[in-house]
Amino acid sequence: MERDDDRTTRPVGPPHGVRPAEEEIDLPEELIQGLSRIDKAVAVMPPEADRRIVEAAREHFRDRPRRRRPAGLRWAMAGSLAASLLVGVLLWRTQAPMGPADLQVATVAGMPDDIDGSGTVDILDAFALARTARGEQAPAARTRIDALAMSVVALDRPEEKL
Amino acid sequence: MAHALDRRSDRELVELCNRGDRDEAVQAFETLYRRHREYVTRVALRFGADRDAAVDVLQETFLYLLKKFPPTGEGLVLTAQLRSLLYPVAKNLTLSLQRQRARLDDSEEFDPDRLPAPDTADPLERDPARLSSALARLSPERREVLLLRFVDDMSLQDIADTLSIPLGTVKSRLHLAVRELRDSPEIKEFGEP
Repeated sequence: MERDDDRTTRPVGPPHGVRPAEEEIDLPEELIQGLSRIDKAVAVMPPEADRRIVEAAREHFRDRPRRRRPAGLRWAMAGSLAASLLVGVLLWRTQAPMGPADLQVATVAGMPDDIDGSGTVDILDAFALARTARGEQAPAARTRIDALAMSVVALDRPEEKL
Repeated sequence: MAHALDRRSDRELVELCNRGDRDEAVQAFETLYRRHREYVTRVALRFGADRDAAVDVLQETFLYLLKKFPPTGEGLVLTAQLRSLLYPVAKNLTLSLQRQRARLDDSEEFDPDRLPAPDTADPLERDPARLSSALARLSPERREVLLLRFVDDMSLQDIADTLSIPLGTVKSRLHLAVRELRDSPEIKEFGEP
């Protein structure tokens, strides 16, 4: 609220230009407060009055454009949202217990020997690898095929190698 | 956001009403309304409006203000307090309403010099009654200037602008009002010499 605080310094003159003493144009504080008490006994306004004014303002300013945020800000907000979602998903994934389906996905993702892409490493992969490497006489290829075949038929193979 | 605007000055809010986007303008106007609604109501009561009339005056005053802003108006340039604009609007609306009611009631012609004194019906809320009585004895012009100065805290120049009268007239009325009030026997209880 804008207030004017120069009450005591503002000159106030009598009718005929004779400047009165300051105490003549001022009032004691008690009197001012009394005047305020009298004047400030305001009737309570119904809420409908408030609502009508706000509705009138909405109607009046209806055709004003709505502010568009700068493009950079919009991209930053979208990026923040995407990052938040990603972090949320990652947190959820690390917190949630892994079921069989999760284990399978993890196994496939970490299995270079799943040649046929079946999701499991078995003897079919050894055959597929052999077909792929047909014609190659390099000892490395043959060694890998043998190792794969042995691993998938071994009786005591650990589950995590699959 | 309306609350966020509470700290803005009237001038800034008026500027938002002039040039702000839709949401800014609505919220700025609402903030102005909530800031000054009590004052406008008081002005209406000061000039004898009853509660219903005060509500009418309140709404009409702010609808008048609203029309000052685009698209219906060219915008408002605030060179003094917003109250300097609101006061004469509320006052004239109240007096106009009084005249209309007087005509409808087929009563004697409305005389603005016979403005009712502030209501003293509720002594708890409107204490002290003696002061009210002293205030009621002032002429309407002197009482008006006195209240604008000491209750509304307006500068003399703002009062002159608000009432569209010369500054010297404001000084004269205020001086006489203060002297008359001080000389009033009712205010001895306030510690006047």
